[in-house]
Amino acid sequence: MRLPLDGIRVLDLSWIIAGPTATRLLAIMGAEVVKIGSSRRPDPSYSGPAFHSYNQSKHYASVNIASEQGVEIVRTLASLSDVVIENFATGVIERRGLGYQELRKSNPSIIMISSSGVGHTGPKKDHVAYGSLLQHYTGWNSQSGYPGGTPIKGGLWADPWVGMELAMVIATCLNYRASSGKGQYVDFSMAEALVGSMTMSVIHQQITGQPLLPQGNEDYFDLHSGVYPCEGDDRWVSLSVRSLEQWRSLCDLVGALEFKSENPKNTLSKRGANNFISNWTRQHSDLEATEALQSLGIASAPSWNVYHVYQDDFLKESNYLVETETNDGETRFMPGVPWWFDDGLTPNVKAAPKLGRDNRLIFRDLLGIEDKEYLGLVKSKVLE
Amino acid sequence: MFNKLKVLEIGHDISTLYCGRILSIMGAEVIKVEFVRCEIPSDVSPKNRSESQKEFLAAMNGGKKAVRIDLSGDNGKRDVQNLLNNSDIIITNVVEGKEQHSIFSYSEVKQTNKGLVYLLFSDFGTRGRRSKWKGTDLTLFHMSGNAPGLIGPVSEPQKQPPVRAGGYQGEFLSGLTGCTALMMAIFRRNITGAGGYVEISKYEALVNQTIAGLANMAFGRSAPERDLEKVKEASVGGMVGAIGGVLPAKDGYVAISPREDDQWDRWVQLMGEPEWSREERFSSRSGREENHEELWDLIALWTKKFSKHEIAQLGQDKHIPCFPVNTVEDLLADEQFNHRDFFIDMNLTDGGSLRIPGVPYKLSRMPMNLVGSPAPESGQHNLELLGHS
Repeated sequence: MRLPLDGIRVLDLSWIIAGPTATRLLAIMGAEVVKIGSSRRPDPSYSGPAFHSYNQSKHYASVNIASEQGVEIVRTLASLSDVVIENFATGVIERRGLGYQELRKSNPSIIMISSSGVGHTGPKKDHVAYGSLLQHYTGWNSQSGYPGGTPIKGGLWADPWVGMELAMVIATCLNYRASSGKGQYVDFSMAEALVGSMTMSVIHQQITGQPLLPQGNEDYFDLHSGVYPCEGDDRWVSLSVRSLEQWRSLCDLVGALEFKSENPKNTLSKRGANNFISNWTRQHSDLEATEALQSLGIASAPSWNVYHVYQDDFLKESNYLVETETNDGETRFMPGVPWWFDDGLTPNVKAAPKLGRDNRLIFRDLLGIEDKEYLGLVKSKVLE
Repeated sequence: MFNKLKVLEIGHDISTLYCGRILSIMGAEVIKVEFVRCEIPSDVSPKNRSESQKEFLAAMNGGKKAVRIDLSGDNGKRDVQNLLNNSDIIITNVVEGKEQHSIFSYSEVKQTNKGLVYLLFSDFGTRGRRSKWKGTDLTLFHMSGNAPGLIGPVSEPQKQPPVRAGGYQGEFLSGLTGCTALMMAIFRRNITGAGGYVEISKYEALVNQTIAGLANMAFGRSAPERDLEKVKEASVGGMVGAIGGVLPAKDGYVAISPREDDQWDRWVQLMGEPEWSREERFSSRSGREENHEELWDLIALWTKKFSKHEIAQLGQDKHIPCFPVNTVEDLLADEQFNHRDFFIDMNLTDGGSLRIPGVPYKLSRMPMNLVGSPAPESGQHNLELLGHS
């Protein structure tokens, strides 16, 4: 079965997390992604396990783009590509002679995505950023946490979200080019991407003049919800009650019969019922409690860390985790893509490469650089 | 091309609404299909909505059209068939067999419209042993492995549960994920002419946020501890391992991450090179990481003297990653977002307007329908699209 992006070539000048996460999705869905790196400026994630998921299914060639010849090689690669993505600090790519206006001279329909912390225009365009800091800058973190608590750390949310949105925009631009013949330049702001999902907080602030305070584990739309302790060390189960019928079933299950006919939104009922729920959940493992609640039609799930998620066989059964031979020769279950096409399409989940693994393929086979010239470029440290 | 695409949106969850909203911004004609006498799920039931929630839904539905169909008679079924035959895409969270709309199930619609791309949002996928499980933004977020890291280490892990992210992030993420898959399916259709069925498991969409953590597990690493005693966390919500932290300022907090040596040197200059900064234990990145608890306490003595915006500006002037810990009120006033015209004005029926988030990408050539028409009333476009009210 044809993969959607078969025949599309992506030149990947991005690094760290967000850009590579986007091109990972494109590569798994069929695009030929040529990642460019250099041992003089290694990708910060290169030495750790995360690199193996951020860079699955790509080619990896080494070019030193601080050199003129390196720039020329990358420019030639761009002329043979459909998409170029980069996330250097604002202005760097233009100073290297690899800006959109330069690249489109030899490839008028090229699609170029420049992703940066706060976008490539505006008074803060030169601000240096990491995704975790942008979660604070945008107020994204202010939406979460224990009610009345200090600012949350925020986890690693911004970068993988941005990776998904970059992939969506690239696929959109490919569609537009398919119908109009036009490529284009995309100025992408990571900070704005975070705010894209803050609609409720943004509206609430304007209507009430007050911030939408963190709900913790409660929910405006649920009749009753929460996270309760289970058997074991730091184990929890979450549940959401969305109808009175579910509420009555829950009260029966945990023995909170006196609250069965009460309004679950009433503070006293809530507090009283919570005691019964906790007493019941403490006697069960997180999965036992989940199974019991699900059998009553109540949305429920354990609160897991990534170890529990990985150990659970469900994601292997659904083929999200895919058995892969990683570049150290070991076989491991690695993440795939969170969608399923019912027509037999098999996502191209392959190991992340080592730096320079595909030099021969890219420089000799694709660019046609002769052996002698190739060795000269290696010797002069253009290809390293 | 998107202005030639017709999308039917069937469903009420935020992921479906958000996916439809993105398609509408891209220029597609998005038609919300609702049914007479159809039970509306309690999560969007109008009776308990606050004004903020009503306007939130208005924002999600801007630029769309709406039809309301009575399926009890022949007319309704004919209306549905006409809509189906003339559509390119269906997006829905209504799982086949669970509700009354089997007429819209993919197995039915592909009989008459082979080019249709059908996108289903499900909680755990429609295959496998958990396909019947119910999920919500809360429960799916908790199960996905994202919750423990969000709050950071806590002092009493037995009493303090992990928390999910606020603002229905799992739903938004699923909507975005669905839109990504959809754009790829449409691209394939451009080439092959074939439509297809695409399914999003919201659980997997959330798990996919943790691919770094999953790789750590695959390589035998351990999951981060939640126990503050074991983690030796910084004074205020620091970022373990990344050499960054949230520090108190005169009027709130500031988030800094001078993780590289050159960034650290500039940060020390900024603080006026205090004597402690010359101590051996802080001279290398690994030393600073090892002693970060004491380090953040010492830095905090300096940061407390300034406002969060002053520190952010001073830091950025020296190219140090550094931002104020902002509220949403700060965000709405931020000059960067305003300079880029990120927010869109959404007109209200009373003549006022609200600013809502736009999109984080500026496309140099493809036109977008960012403002769009106001959210439609239920059935507002029956006459235009069905030929009767």
